[in-house]
Amino acid sequence: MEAATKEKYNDIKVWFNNLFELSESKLNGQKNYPIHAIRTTAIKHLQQIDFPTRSVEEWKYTSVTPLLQHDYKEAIPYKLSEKKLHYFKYKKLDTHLLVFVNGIFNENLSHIEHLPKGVEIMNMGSALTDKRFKHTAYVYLSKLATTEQNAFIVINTAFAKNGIFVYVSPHTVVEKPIHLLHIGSAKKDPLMITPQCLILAEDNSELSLIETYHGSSDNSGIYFTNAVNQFIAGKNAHIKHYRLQNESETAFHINNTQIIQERDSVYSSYAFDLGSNLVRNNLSSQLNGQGTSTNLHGVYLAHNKQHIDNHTFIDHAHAHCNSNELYKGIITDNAKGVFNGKIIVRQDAQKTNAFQQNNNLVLSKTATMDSKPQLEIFADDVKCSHGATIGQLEEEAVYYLRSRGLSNEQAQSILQHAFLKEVVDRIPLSPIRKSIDKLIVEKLTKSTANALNNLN
Amino acid sequence: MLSIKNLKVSVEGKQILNGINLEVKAGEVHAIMGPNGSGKSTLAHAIAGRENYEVVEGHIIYKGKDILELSIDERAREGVFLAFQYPVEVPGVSTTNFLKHALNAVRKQQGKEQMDAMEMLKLIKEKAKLVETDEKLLSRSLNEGFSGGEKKRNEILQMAVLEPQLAILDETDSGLDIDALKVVANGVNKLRSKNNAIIVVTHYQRLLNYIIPDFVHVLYQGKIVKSGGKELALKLEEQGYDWIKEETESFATT
Repeated sequence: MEAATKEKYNDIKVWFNNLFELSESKLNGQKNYPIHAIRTTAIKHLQQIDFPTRSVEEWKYTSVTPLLQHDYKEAIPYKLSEKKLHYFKYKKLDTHLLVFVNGIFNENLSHIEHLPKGVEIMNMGSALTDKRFKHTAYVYLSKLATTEQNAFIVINTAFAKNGIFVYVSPHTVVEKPIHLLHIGSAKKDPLMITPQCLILAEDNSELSLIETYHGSSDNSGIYFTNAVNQFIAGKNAHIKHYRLQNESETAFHINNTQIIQERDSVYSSYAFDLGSNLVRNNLSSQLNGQGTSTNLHGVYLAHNKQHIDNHTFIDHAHAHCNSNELYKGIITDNAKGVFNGKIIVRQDAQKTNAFQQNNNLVLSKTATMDSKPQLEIFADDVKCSHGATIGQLEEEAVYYLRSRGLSNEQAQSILQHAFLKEVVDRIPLSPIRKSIDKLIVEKLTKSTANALNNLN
Repeated sequence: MLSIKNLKVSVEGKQILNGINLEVKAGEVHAIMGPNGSGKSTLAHAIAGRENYEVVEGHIIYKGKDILELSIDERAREGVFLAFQYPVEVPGVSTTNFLKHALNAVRKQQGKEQMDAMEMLKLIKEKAKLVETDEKLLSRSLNEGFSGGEKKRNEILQMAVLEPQLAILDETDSGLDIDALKVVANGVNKLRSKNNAIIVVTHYQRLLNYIIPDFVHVLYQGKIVKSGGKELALKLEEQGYDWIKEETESFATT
């Protein structure tokens, strides 16, 4: 790392350290809580590690400089009306709802009073003192506070005060999805929001978790959502994970999600990135037993100067596991997209099926897309494939649609929408599918109109 | 309805149409025949308004207005319809959804109310019967994986739904077996009226047994070299195009 960068990054670490101490000084009598020990360990650990630079392979296409140039304050909540919240809820979907305003849990707006038997949702602090959960919670959090090398995860661990612990007992099927709804807004100072979630789905349990991130309006100021999720899927557990990121385009968003899958478990992710100025998602699954399935679906739409980076990693360490990955994106204007899909098939992972596909439309000369499939296969009896495409809309198809009376704008946005349909159609819950589809159409219509105006 | 005057069109720097003159009145069916490479498809796409076709000279007057300045979609909304020789496959867009957008775009232009999804579906299903299209195809991606015949029938279905005033069928018959040809022709005939006009571009006379034209024009080297009634098509079927070529060339040398 260059000396100047090193110095700059040290200053930033000092900033976060001071911010931590400030937050520390406001605590009364909570300093003996186990959560506090973990947080203190994390902030100390931060001083030992570095922020990524583009010379690091994993961050080759994404610079975090734009994100780190702001002096973030700890986020404070603001008053959010039930009416305003309504706009962000899924209308025809009954959920266990947890609302976070600027990362802070809002009990009044949330509805988790009807949890089925065998399901517990509590804040991380409580989990760390609950005799049933404290061991697990401690193991997974302290790992992040001590050995984690990703500075953003460590910062999250140091600052998360509203972490959520979800427990699903063996054989429990959670019928209604659990919805973590985040709304962000920075009125004055740049704010950092640190959502944290640890999900323990025991053997044979089933759960759908929805994570949504919204800006309170189109311009909600500069805020940085730095989220960390850990899923532990027990034997034959089934987890569906929906994630919609539709933050204000002035915001920054980093999401680190790690999944541990025990044998025969199924984890399916449906991730949609529409908002934010700069986005980096790390989604990784470690397969700890045979017979697992991992299905990763993603859509990203980047316009103006948005930068959206998706990194996925699937570690096939055991035999007879399946992974399926399909990410599609549309990049236009001066935006940039990045997809890096890493799959390791270790020597013992015979009979692995691993398929990965990343398709992109790049619609302007100034838009860029970097797509990098990364398959490392050490076993010999496996079926693996990957494919990456970067293309434009077919002119012939645009002409055909226009010859029936559709305007150029309409034809282009219909074709873009059709391109993404393959992924959207795989969303199992229809209210979510319809809602996301609608958001996609809205954004495409807006982007296409802008792009064509710029051409004329 | 349509009056083409001295139309010269070049594609990628090469002039294909060398001065076309054609008058089409409402209620008429005109057939345009000619050997391969004579410019039939170019004429069809030039009327429809294909973007990279450069009009070097001439006019296309439609309903009293020169439409050369109108884009393809503007022309379509004014009632011009081109059935493609090679309909484009559009994955992810169903025929129904596509037609819904298209018909509402056309209706908006005509100052008519937008049709809701239910009415639209009813209308599309009705018209699908006309061209004997399986309803199942309607919800599938447009033309994707359709057989040749299904694609051509889908073109006529679109025409039936959009009810254009001027329809141009570009080799809609090529590649069809006789049964499919009859279905397509039958569909077209049901859409014939005194208010609309149809231009049938074809390489073979066979289609004209089922869609009886009022006029037949022969296109050769980018010009209409002969015009006549339906008997001209029969003569072409019997004698081929050589006599046309000879006539044109001897005319050129004298």
